[in-house]
Amino acid sequence: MRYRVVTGVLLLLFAVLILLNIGIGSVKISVSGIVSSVLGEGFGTNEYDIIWKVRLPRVAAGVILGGALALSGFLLQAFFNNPIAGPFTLGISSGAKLVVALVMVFVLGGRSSSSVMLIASAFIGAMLSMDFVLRIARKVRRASVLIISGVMIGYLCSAVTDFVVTFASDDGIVNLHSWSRGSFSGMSWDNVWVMTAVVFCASVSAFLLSKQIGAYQLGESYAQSVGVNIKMFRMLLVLLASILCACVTAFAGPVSFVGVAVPHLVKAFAKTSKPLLIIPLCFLGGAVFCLGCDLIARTVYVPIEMSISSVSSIFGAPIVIYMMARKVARD
Amino acid sequence: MGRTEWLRLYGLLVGKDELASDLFDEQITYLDSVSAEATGKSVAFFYISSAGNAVVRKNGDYVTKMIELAGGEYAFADLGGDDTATGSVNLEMEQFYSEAKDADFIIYNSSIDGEVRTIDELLGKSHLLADFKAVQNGNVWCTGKNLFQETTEFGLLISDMNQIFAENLDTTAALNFLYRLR
Repeated sequence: MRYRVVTGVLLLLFAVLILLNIGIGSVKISVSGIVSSVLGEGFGTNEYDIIWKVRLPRVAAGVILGGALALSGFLLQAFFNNPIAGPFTLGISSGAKLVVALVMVFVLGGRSSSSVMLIASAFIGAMLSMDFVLRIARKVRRASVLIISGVMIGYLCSAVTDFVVTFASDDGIVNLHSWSRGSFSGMSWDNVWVMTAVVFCASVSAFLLSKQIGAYQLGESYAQSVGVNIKMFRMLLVLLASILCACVTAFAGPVSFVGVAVPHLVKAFAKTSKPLLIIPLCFLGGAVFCLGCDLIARTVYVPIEMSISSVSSIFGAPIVIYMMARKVARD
Repeated sequence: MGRTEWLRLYGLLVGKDELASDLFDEQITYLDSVSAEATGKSVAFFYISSAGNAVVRKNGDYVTKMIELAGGEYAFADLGGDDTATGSVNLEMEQFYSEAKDADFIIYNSSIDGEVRTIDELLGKSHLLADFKAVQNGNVWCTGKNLFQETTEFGLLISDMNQIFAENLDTTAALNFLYRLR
């Protein structure tokens, strides 16, 4: 029952935020103008172009990338059996950011890059960080040490990025700085199709692993006893989490706190951690969270735009702290 | 021309005040040669950041003043405000699209994020630019990378801009600070 209520509320919020994101912007468009543009009327008018070429691709990117980030966080939390594991806290986003930064500064210069190149470089960075985290996880079982290691990886990647900046040209520094603030701005339908394909495949694969994730949550030996190939399963989990995280970093830059906050909130509200139920809910929650943050980022100082990470951190961090403090007080 | 006039102070400091005055007067001559009449042509001056935002100068900034001195009308006329020290702002893409789509000329500010050489490279920065009137008419110009270090020759830059806006370009001679994207 509670799960249904949470799903219903999230779906309602999702619908409202989609409408708000399409309806609100720095350019005022009447309700009738929005409706007719969405229905495909008024081709070639300014209103039609703004709706179809700016707002809708951006909304789609917010939904897909927000969902991907939350799902990536959930997979990592399941893998490490740690509620505050996430792409950002484990340093995976920082690894992806570092390799994209290297490519931007040393390979691309001031030129724009293809989606495939960005995803590939972000994926390599994410996998390198993940490899590092896994090596530590194998030696140290304590969750706190793992998170501290993740934070250290984040610092390490930031330090290397600073070295890169030292030797970069002025335009390389500017490009890197802009990208690292995170934004859903400038999305095209081409970008949306690529991210849809990547995120859809990874999300469906994660959903198909629901049963195994559920068994794994009850302990490695239990999972093994019900026939889960642990080695293969762990590899798939890491791969899927890294692909999802890399896709977000490649298209929107680093977006903080969604991967940690959303799975935590969803599980707390729905009062279940069954992967079969939580995976779709996490995706929906991530989409809602990112749509909300993006709406604030682009409307609070109209027509000037804020970075998405600033907004997601402002909302995400206090929520996680509050939820954890409440849980500790209750225990 | 206040930024150019610093030249005279530097000249005074190094004992070359006469030479500095001559160089400054030369820039004034370029400025005087520009027709004072407004061409009525709208001009968008911006660059696209790697985050996908349009970064434009606030109206009233010295770059926009140069555009006006050259006879152009700055496309982002409503973007005023002296509440912050910075002369540039990250403009939301739909606002940028709405205000710059019908601009007669685009001057891409490549002094910040690196030079672009072709229209295709420019469209790689943002797919929306393909709809712009200036892109369709081939009226896209790009600044050199060191534009903002050339404060001693702003008279010449204004003269370059005026030749473009007034559409009386000498096709055989290259401009000093701007080049056309093809």
